[in-house]
Amino acid sequence: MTRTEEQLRATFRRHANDVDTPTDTYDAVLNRYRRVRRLHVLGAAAAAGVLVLVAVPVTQSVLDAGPTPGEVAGPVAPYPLPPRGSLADDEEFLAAVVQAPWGRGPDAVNPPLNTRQVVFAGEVAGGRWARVVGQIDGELVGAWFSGPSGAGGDAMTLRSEPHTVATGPEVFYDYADGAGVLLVLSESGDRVAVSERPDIDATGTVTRDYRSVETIDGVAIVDLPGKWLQALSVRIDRGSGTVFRGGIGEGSAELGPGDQPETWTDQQIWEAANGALGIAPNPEVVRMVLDPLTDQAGYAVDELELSVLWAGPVGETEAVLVSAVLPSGAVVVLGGRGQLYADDTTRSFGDLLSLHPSGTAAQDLMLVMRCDVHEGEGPTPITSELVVLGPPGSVSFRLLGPSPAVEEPGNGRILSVQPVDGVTGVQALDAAGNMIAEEPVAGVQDISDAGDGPVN
Amino acid sequence: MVGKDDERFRDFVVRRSPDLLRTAYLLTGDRGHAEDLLQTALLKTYRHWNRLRDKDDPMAFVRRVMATSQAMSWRQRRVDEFVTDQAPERAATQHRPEAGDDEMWLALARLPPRMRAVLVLRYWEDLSEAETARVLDCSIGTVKSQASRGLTRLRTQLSSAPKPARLSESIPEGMA
Repeated sequence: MTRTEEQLRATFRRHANDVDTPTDTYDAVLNRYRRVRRLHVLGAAAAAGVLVLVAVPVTQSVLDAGPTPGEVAGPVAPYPLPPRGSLADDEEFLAAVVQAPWGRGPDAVNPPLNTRQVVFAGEVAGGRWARVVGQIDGELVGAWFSGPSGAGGDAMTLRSEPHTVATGPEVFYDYADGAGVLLVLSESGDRVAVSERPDIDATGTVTRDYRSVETIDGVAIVDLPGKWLQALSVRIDRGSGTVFRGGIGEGSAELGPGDQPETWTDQQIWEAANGALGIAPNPEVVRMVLDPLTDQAGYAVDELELSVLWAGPVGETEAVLVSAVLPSGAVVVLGGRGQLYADDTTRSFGDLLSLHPSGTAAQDLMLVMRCDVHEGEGPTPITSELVVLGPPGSVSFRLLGPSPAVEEPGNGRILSVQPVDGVTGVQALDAAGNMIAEEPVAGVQDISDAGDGPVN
Repeated sequence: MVGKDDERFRDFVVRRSPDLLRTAYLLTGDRGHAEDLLQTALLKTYRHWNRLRDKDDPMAFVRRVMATSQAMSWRQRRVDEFVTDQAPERAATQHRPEAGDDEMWLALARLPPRMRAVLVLRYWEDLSEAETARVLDCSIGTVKSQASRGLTRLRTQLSSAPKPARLSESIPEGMA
């Protein structure tokens, strides 16, 4: 070891020993988490509409609370690009809109003025839009402002609740009166392409066709039909590679609640449940489980042939297994659970989604669904339950994975057991003990192929 | 995060915060920034707690967040630079030397944060070159070169710093 290295170690030891034990670090971290979490919740509420606001008590103002003892407001990297959009050179407009309040009252989320930047300002869909970002508690947060065409910066009002933002490409949309508009913020020179919805062919394969859209200075503004907004995917290419492929979901903000796709009526669900096993399904739970077909894949109700295969209780939830025949003839099977609370809020879990080729008889399939059982609102499962629907003729089941394999009698064609850790698959047995089908414990297959956002 | 996971996270924070704060202090050179850096890193750890492979001792994750966050804060200061005809009031930066600091501490304050992070991980945390590379998400070659350059800079600065005369230097040769 050199003399410099020895000196360095000695200096580190000396200064490290001067550091006294921190106090209340856990509480400080938890306070930060709650404040940032609230920002996330507000962003999600802007996208989802109503339910989350009901469920989350607002106990403290993000701004007015100020830093708690032991906390130091830390800098984060600012948004790395200058303002863009048709009003980006209007300094008077920018100077005014950056001062626009993000909210009023004790619950307002107002980043300090000296941390705010205008990211976009321009004429969009017959009005003026501006996106402003700022910093709170070491997090970059953003909000949209809007005003009528020709409005000055001081006339712009908050359009969406503040939410945390990333500094990579961002995708936004707004929808009103049967028309939508998509706004993509990326880097100058990037190429933006849009796919309205996935294609699922007769073999059950999911693909997408993307069409290029005009991009000016890294900004694309695209008019869209309202029908498939939630199923669309945006791809951003830079140089010879793709830097972003994702839909309008987590990780991107939305303006306003958008348009909820049409869904099945109670009457349609009861008709589809004719011949289903188990208990009478709760239509609301069936609708929740079917959400991926309309939301992620963009199908309309009248395009699909729906069947409810089974319904029954799992923990505190109601579970269902359903199938739908797609226009291509491919068959999709979905399994999941829903929980309805007294205050009209809901909670749902998607446990199974599998695609099968055209001609598949869903009622003859063997389906294995693992349900993670949660306690209250906790995100961590306390146990898991396995729901198995055997093919016709099934009377018992062999759980694969544990050694030796465990055999369980079925309730008709249904098996419901817990806990199931270590179970990798299930065999269905007939009355003579012969194996008539075997399936692994399946999960949720991606039906949208929308992408996950930034591509590394 | 609820229940047992929450308790485990709390245990981890209580048990490891003193060591982590020392590392944060050596990375930043400032107590306030060190606390902020540690809390930011623990916040990210809390969010990822369910996905951490080793929940009993996720030190590597926290170290990584602290070291990389520190490098990010330096980049941000570079972005913030602007031209002015007035000398700015000196801010309480993370590298502000304090009374009583030794030459090595002052020399460390002049290193780029990433270079300083390499030295902290190698000579305080005693991580190997490979472990340091993993924490900083860079190549072993980068760790080697950053450590070598860092030590060279420190050596250069120490040798050029004014030194008090030592007793032996004031005594004629042969008289000591």
